[in-house]
Amino acid sequence: METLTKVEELRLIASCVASGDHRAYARLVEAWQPQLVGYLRGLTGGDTWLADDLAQEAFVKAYQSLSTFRGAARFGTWLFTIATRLYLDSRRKILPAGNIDEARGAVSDSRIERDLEVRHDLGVALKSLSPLDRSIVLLFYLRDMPVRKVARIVDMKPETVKVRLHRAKEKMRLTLKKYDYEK
Amino acid sequence: MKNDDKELRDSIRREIHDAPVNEWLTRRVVNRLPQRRMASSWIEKLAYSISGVLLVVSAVLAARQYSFSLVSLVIWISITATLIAVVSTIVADKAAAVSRPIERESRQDC
Repeated sequence: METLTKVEELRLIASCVASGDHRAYARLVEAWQPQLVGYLRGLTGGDTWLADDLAQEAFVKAYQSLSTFRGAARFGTWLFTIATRLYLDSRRKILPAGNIDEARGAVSDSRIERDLEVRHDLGVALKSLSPLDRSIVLLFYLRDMPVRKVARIVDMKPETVKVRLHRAKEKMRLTLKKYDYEK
Repeated sequence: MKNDDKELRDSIRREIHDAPVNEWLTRRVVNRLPQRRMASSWIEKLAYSISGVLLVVSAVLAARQYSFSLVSLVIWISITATLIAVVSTIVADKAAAVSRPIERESRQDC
């Protein structure tokens, strides 16, 4: 797995923008793919096909708008923003009410009940969160991003993200409690 | 109960790992990349505009003094062809700019 410095990244991006260098972009894809796909697999509850599709879409979209990238943030932050919004948009299309904030994602109660028997407790707790809260939790805990950066990605105020993180932790705690009780 | 931040972070990282590099995914992405036209700079646009205006002016002047000869026919054809080339380049540039979705860049420091 290749790790790129910010300078190397900017050089590759400049090469993509200036001459449409696809090989330079392939290096960026390979460098960020493991983290992005890992994050998306967490978001989708381990759906590898969906995660790969979303990652692919995010990389293509990022390339299409590379000329608007100003280099203030790492390419990865920008990529995670695109991927998170793609994921949330995909959930919005699926959810009948379209309420991404309060909905519990595409996972029904009965599905959670079934999962309680077979899946690991943490996976179930994550699935009990709304898609938006799951993104916030994973960006903060899995990708180790500061609240400020998470807020940028999900387009919210840092204070709101802090409140959502707190509520998400509480919800996960209750789900785990229920899980322990049912076990 | 994983109440503590550190515990939650550790358990999430234990459960969710980075995916291995998938060359197939990289190839799929690269195959879907559009051929990029270089964005034209303001100086290019200015040059195109000036040459467009000059072409139109010379076309009008040539039409006013038109008398049929092989030389004037060649001049007319060259002016028309160049005018079409300039207009189509400008239109293609605009079409490429419109088809490119704009993503808001996160300005976060890393």
